[in-house]
Amino acid sequence: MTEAAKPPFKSRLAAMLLWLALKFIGRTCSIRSFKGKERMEGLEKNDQPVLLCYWHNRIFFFAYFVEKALIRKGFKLTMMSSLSKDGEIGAILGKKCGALVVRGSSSRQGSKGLRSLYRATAKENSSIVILPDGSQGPVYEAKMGVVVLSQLTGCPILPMSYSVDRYWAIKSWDRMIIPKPFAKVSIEIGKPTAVQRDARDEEMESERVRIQNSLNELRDSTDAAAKVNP
Amino acid sequence: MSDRNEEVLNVISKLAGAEAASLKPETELVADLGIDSPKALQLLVELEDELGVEISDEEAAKMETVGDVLAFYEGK
Repeated sequence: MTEAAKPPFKSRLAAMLLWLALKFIGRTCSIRSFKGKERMEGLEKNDQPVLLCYWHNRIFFFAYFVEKALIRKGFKLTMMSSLSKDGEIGAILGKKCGALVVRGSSSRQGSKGLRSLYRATAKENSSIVILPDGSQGPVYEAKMGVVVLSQLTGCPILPMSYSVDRYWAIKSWDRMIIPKPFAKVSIEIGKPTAVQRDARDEEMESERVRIQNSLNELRDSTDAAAKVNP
Repeated sequence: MSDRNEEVLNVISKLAGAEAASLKPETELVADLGIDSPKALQLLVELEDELGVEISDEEAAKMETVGDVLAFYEGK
């Protein structure tokens, strides 16, 4: 499940610096609004795994938030990290956050990575976090992996997003958002839905589009909430 | 054709949306049938569920054609 080989020193150093930044920024940020909070409550006590689902560029604060709100309370979570060097750093960070990490991506050895996520959920009863426009985009376009995982496991997809009033926008394919210290965060958790096991191809495509639209609506809603002055 | 081969072909054909009769041993899963990563996961889970034989990642990686899938089950 986890990678046995020790990552190179550069990756470990970069992950450590990111971890420190994540902790510092996360602790100084405050939650301005949290819509759909009740949908996250008690997840760690629930036997039914869920598929936490958010856009790739929302990964920074959610890494801090999910660790604090769920993993620390015993929530079992598995994530996939790409086979690239960035993915290696992400894998180290994920483990530091207490998540189980599988390596793979949609572009290289994707089915092996997806299969590991499937096994984590179906056989080990672990929830998973999935970034449906990762690992290489296009940004805000959901791929089919999350739909298939829900279909095969019966687990509900929990769409979520956040925005902040002050942030750095990184010029990467995903337009990564890094909250500035002491930023105010607006979070929203969408309605959970599961994909039927017997869904046909056209229904699977409808689900994919529905998840994409749901995540984009949550993005727009939290963007608007973050800009409101209290 | 054995019952098992027929079951395998039915699973592949259902997933790929192709007639079972049109599937040849040399038919490539990715290039000819468009089986991408999510479809590959569906295929492996369906095959395991239908035929009750677990497929390791290493064995799955070797399955490039319909013939490879059939050969895997013939070896079991």
